[in-house]
Amino acid sequence: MGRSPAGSDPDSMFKGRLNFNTVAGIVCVVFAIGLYIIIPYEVDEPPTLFGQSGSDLDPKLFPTIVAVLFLIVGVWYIVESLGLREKNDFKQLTLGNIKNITISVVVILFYALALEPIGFILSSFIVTIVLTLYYGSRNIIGIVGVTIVVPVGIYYIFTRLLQVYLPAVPDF
Amino acid sequence: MFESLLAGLEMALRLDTMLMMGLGLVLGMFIGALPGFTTIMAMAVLLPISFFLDPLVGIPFLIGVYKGGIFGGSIPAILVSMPGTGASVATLFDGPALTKKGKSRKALEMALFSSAFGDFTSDIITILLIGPIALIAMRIGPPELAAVLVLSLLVIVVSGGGVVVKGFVMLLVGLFLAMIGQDPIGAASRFTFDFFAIRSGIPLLPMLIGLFALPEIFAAIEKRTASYVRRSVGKAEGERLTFAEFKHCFKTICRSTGIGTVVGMIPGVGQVVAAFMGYAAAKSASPTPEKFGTGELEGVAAAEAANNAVNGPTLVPLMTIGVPGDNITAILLGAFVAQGLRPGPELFATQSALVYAILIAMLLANVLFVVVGYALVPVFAKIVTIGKSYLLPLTIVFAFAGTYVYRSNTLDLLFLVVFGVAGYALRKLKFDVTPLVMGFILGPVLEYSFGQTVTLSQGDMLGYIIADRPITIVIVITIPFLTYFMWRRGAKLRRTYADGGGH
Repeated sequence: MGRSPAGSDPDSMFKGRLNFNTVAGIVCVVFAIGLYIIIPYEVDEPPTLFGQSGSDLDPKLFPTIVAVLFLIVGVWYIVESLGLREKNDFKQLTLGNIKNITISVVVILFYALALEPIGFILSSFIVTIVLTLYYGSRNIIGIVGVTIVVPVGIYYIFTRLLQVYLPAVPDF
Repeated sequence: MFESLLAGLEMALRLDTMLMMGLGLVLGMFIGALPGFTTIMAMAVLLPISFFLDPLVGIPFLIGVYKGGIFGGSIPAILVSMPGTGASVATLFDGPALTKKGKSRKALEMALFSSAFGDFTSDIITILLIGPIALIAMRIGPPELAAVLVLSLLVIVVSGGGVVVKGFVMLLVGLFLAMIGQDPIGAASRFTFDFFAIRSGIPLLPMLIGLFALPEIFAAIEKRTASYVRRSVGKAEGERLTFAEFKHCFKTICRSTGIGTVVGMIPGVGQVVAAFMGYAAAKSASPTPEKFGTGELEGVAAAEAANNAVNGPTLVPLMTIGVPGDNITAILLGAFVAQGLRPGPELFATQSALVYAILIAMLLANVLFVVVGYALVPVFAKIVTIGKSYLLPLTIVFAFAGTYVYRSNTLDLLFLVVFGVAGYALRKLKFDVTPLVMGFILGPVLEYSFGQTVTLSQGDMLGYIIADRPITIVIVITIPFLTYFMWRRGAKLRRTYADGGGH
């Protein structure tokens, strides 16, 4: 996202350079315009009853207000951003950090998609064992605790004590 | 009002309420005591449990987590100089210095007793004040409510941390997200892009859990180490706290409690500010201000009484007008709504006994708080060193199970992941998500009350407001002044304590 000022040397930052905040401000302005354009297409007319509208407030009014405010705030943000010296923390991530985050996101995305088809206990087991081993745990008791006892325990709490539904095993 | 108070007392004295509240306290202290795990995260993850319990059990359970978490955060702040929760940042001034002197047990016990005192006293004030305030709130109609909501949203934005314009951006994002689905008056479909799954709008629960629990996990995951803190640190040692020491700090504790109570009633200010204000006030009132910051027991008491005194009074705006003042009360609002209870004047009018029962349960929680805290502080002092490699997967499993059980819908899990990743990215880019959540929750209420105002005015809005709604005019006139005042004050506090935390 954007060319942020060199994080390592604060003295090299000077006003007026394009930083991530300026880019975010531009995104706001673009979003405001886009929102304004799509309002007529994406907001339905209020349902009418006997030829009269059910409400006195046009459903387009609030979206229009938000779009206009987005434009004003976006311009304000761009102006303000020129003097901001905040660092974009993404710049400080090392390749290793990014790898850790990516793997975790992929694992939990898998979890979200797999929970229903393969069941809570199995999907939780897969997710926790991958994450626990990846984060460097080699203690067998701890691993069994987190990967088996915890999912079964949580399953028990929700389905037996609170009596709500969680898919336990694959549902064929 | 008085009859409802008595009826509430009767309702609150239930064994299951007490047990779940005690459990909530233990869980809150436990999670609060873990560095990197915050009270908000604890509440977000445990929120779904409350949905399936009786309201008088589930909500006190969450209140227990709230109180326990705010106190629990002081444990790692004192022992390893890492605040477990934002609220205990001001405890860093004196807590770690006391630990270095070998007086960590004294410091922990002072934190416990001053927290409990602050909590208890402010809860009593809350119970006494909430009735009269609710009576006033019941008289306000849609135009006043709309004005109050605008004012609250502005105050939340300007008194939040960081750059104000970024707060406004987040507020607008929240307002936009709230519009997806159906409009609150005529149920016309908006911004659904013909995507059936979002026809009923974006669900609140995955948003709360995703924004408040998952980013903490991603932040912790960046560095692939098994634990936060090296072992061997983190012990409660030295002498216990004496009554004389507590008495010596009593004036400070009372002052901080007063500050915390007032701060708690104003939406958007919160524990962190209260703790700093309490600390600063104690320092300037002390005959020996130079001792503050070098391991002064009074400094711990000042910060801890103030941050816990905020807890009860944050329920005043929530219960009387339905405005949550911070992230934590937003989660409590989620718990109420899931129970089919909408906090606000109507709830107070129709179910005042239930409201009082919850408040009384909260008051009783403080007694449990001292007992549980006193017995378990040494245990919690040890868990500061629990390995991250076990806790992060556990939190993820809990977050997913809790999100799924609410509607049994895979889509909610995808929302959870999307909000989690978005929350993480926003944190990296220094955006505060609080205004987003507030805009999302309060936006539809604002639009609805504005729509009712339009209907009431019968086409002549200005004339109607001027002729029939003098209170609305007063609120509207105060909006710019109050917003400006909060903005200046927030900027001043930020400058003074710019480097208060982070070490």
